[in-house]
Amino acid sequence: MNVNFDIQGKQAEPSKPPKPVIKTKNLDFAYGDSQALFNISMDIFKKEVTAFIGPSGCGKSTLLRCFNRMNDLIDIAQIKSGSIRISDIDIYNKDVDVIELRKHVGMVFQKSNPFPKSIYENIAYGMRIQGVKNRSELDETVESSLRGAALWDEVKDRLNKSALGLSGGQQQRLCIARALAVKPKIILMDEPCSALDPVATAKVEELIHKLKKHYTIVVVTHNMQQAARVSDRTAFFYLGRLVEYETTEQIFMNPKNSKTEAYVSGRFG
Amino acid sequence: MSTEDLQPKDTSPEFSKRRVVLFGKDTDSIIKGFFGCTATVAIVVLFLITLFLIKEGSGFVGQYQTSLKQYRLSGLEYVDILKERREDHTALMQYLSDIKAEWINLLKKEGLTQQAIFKKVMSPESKAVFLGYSRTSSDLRRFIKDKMDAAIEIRDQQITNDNLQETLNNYAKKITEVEDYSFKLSEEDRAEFILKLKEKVRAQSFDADKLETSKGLIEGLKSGVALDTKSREIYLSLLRDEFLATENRIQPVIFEKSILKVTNEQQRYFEILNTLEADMKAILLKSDSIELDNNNLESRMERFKELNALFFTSIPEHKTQIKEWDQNAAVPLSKSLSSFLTGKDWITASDQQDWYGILPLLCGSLIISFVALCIAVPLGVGAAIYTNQISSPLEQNLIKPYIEFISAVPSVVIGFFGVVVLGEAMRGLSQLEFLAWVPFFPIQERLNTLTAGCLLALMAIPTIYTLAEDAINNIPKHLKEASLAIGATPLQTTFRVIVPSALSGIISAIMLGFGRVIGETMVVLLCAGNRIKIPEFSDGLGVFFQPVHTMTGIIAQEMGEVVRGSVHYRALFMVGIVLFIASLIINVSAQYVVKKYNKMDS
Amino acid sequence: MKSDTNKQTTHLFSQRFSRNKVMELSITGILRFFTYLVIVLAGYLFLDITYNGSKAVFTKEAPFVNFQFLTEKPQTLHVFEPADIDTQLKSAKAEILTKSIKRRALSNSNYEAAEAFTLAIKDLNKEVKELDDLRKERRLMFSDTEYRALATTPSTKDFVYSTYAYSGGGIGPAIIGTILLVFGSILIALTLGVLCAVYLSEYSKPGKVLQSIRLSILNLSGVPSIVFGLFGFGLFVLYLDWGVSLMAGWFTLALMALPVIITASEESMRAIPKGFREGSLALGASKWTCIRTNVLPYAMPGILTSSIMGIARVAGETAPIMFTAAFALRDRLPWEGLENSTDFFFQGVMALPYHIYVVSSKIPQNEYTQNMQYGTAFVFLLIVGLFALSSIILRVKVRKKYDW
Repeated sequence: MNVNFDIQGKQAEPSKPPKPVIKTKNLDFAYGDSQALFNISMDIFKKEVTAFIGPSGCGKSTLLRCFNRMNDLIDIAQIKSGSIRISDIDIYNKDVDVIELRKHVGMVFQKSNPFPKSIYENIAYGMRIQGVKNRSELDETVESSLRGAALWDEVKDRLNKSALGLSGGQQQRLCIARALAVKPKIILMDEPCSALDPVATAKVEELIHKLKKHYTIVVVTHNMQQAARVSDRTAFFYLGRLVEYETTEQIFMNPKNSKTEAYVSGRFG
Repeated sequence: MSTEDLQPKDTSPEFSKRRVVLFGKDTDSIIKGFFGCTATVAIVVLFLITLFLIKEGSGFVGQYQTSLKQYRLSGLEYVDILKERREDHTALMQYLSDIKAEWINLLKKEGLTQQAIFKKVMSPESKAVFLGYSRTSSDLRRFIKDKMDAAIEIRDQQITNDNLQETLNNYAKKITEVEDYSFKLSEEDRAEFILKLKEKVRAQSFDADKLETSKGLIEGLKSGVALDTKSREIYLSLLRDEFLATENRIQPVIFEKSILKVTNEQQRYFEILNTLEADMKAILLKSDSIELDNNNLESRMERFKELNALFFTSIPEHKTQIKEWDQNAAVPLSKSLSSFLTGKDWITASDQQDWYGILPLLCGSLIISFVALCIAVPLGVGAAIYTNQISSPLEQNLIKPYIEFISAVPSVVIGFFGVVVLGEAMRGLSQLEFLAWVPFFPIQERLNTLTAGCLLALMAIPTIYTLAEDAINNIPKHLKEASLAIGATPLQTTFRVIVPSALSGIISAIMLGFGRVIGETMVVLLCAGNRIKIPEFSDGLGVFFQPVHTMTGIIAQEMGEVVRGSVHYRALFMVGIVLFIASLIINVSAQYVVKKYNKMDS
Repeated sequence: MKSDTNKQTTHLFSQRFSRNKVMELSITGILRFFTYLVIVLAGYLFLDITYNGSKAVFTKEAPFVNFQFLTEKPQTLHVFEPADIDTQLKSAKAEILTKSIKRRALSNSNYEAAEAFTLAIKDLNKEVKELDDLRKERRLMFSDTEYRALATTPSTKDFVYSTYAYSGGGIGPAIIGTILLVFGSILIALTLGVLCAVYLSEYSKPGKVLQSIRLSILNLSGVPSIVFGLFGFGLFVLYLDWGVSLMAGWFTLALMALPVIITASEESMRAIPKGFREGSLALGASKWTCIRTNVLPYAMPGILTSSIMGIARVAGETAPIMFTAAFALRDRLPWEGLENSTDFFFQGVMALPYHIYVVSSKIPQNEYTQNMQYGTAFVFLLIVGLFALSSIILRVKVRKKYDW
């Protein structure tokens, strides 16, 4: 696994001041009567990889799904107070078109979920729903997205085969490519590697590292090594509260909170 | 119980012993076998259905072949060939009188008085054409009528003979029975015996000795007792008399001879045809002298002449057909089956030949199903998509049971509703003046394809809805999430991801809906109009306003009235077999669709 | 990201108008319309039959239910209409017809004359209505028994006499026949269906046999009801020589309900968690004991509720009993005039669905017959509907109660 666990390397680029893209302020979130998130405030910075870690049920996925309002699908889910601003727009404002938001904030899920269509159609789907019909434009985007997801060389000969025939890791990268095709600025990843074997995981991690150049990435993970490997900043959640949010180096090398320390050193979780 | 009782005892384990109860099996495997047997009940029922449909229906092929054979032997077929020209001529006459009617209408519109119209239409020239044309065929008609009567007479004689032969066989059987010494009179026999004896006594046709005995017999005869020699002899002689009398009544039909009554005078027939042709031509020549003064009418008149020309050209062929007709041409068994499957007529209880062709019924069933599905598929699938994907949970909780409840509404109630409400409403609607522009309005029959189709749609909707909703519901949630996360709207997600994924399920739902519709009986029986005729597809959309009859309807309607074991009875079972096979095909292919898709998925 | 600086109201995620959205709204609208169309159409059917049918079944005075209609045997209705009013009515109606034809002829050319005709027709209509009320007041109606009991029949000089089959009396025997048919077939179908389901869910192993059993069940469920009727006629009525009888009807209906009941029973048995069985087997119970004590009792509520739906559907069928069990008219009730007790099983009965078929196809629809026709349909719908409704409601309850 040659993915850099190279925290020194990251330190080498502090030149430009990081710019916050997602600003969460005093967010309280609840499923019906049970509150899931308590008073979360955090900024997520542009073109960085931010990792959310924490034990199961700590609210990290919930927060992630708040960022592109996927929680709207659950009837009883609601924001009690606080706000989330992306590019200085309150995304829970009434005049926000959730569709536009989701085009801007892409998402990759825990379980790879390609549509039961061909590989090509899976990638082209995002374009098609926006009404793009031009074949050459579609071809171009499909290729660049697949290249972007480091999948092109593996699938270029069978673009018209069903996507369900790909291996698990390929499927997950296909889902990433699919998300890239709509040209988002932010990509949310909800435990993208939890269902993959180590080799496939490595490939996806490599990909995340590569994508960082162009995209802001938020990744939820169970796996602390993974967080350490891929992220610039790490947030530790516990029981619906944000316990600590610092650069990854800080969190892993020198955690301030005792709970964080206990978690990253593997004493609970 | 002391604690010691709960301690395991130190005895050797016994699990090597199986408790054998019966035939070397223990209780559990017997129970298992019992359940295994009951589980096959579905297979058994399916098998029994097949068996009994075939048992009752299979005789059809042979019986219908016999009927077709008689049709040929008696010359009815020959007469039917003769009739073809007559029918053609009638059609031509109809065409001509249509022209006349239109002409009168036109004149009326022009504002002519009754008398002026009469003068024009009944002018000597036109009279010669319109009336003269219909008179040309009177000879032909008379001739064919004679021949038909002759043929029917032959056929009826044959049928009478068959019946008498059966009676004769019964007598012969009885005689052999009575000749056996162990024969005992049954109650029925006794009654019959006494009745006949009384007749004989009254007529005094026995000799004196027998007369005395029989008088005694009338008093003392008992059923269930062996006959003494004397009374047996009397009984036998009575039976033999009957046997002989019946035998004498049979006048065997020698088809080769009797057919001559039908097929003679061919030459005269040809002459009649020739005169017909000449007369018609003469009249057509005269027709130019009528002043129709209208382009449309004139072009129709031209068309009429063309049709006549066609008629003339067909005559030589007709003649050869008649000459070549062979009474003794074989009727193969396959002919009876093929004329069932491809026959265009279903005519029963006619005085000429009964026809059992399934096509009009099949067409009726299919066209009604088509109408029903055209309505039910968009509504059913649309409602399924709406409730599953768009509606609020409250709506969902109300609509789903409601539509499920519709499926429990008895078909006969829906049919009744169709008769008393929908049929009337449709007729009322079609008679409204401001809807007169709609073609085919006002409709002729209130009970027609459309009425039945609408009601059947109501029956098919719950089936299609429930199955399609299930199929959509089974699509994994994560696909929906994936699509939404890319920025698709809910509706785009529904139509581009969910519905295509559920398509196989939806298609199979539609097919099962089709199965339900084509097998439905009461609604079509009550509301389809029950006219046994292939719908006239040349009417365009008007075909949906014609009454039809269906496969299910005909069974329900005629089964109660047929003679058991007759051709007609067996024909109805054959229709049942066709229905059964159709339902199996629909079911199996619906399963195939689902299975094929599932394989692709995993 | 320039857009959000342009105006305050529009930003990156702001709502934008597009043709797509209009289309989406209209498609949603169409789908909603379809759904509610189905609901409204079916609702109209229910309301129409309920409204018109309740006229026959309920009365305005206490006890509010027309027991005579529900219990009596069907009889011919004898109607005497006052002759003088009848002729007046007929002439008035004829006049309306001629006037309306004339009006139509004039409607284009002479507007005023047409208007005069319209007024005249209005007057005539009023007259007709009055006459009709009078006719209803003075007419005499008798059922068969009443008619025979009359000392003197009304003279044909003063009255126009007509009869309507089935329209007098009630539908008692048909209700009883239907109930007998339904309960008999439930018993047979449940027994067979549950036994079969026990095998399928507890004993069967995947293989050819199981596959063919499942295939048969699926195919059986698609066989048209009329084919079942033919089959029942061939097997039970003719071959086993039971004649047109309750027994033949029971078995035909039961076999028809079988696929639904097997599927429902198997489903509810499979829903029992494995732990229930394993717990019992681990204590040394035999398989059968385990099924008897730990599977069937818990599955039974589910089996029953789902089966009711199948039975409701079967109870509504007419075609299978047309040739196997139903008589168009039978004077005796099933328990009257039996020579020995087995005769009970081998007699045909009247049944509501067949009765509806007979009265809606064999006799004309008019004011005298319609009451009884609607009443019969309503009673039948009520019986079947109660079955179906209870199944739907119970199912929700059972699911909640036994949610493992």
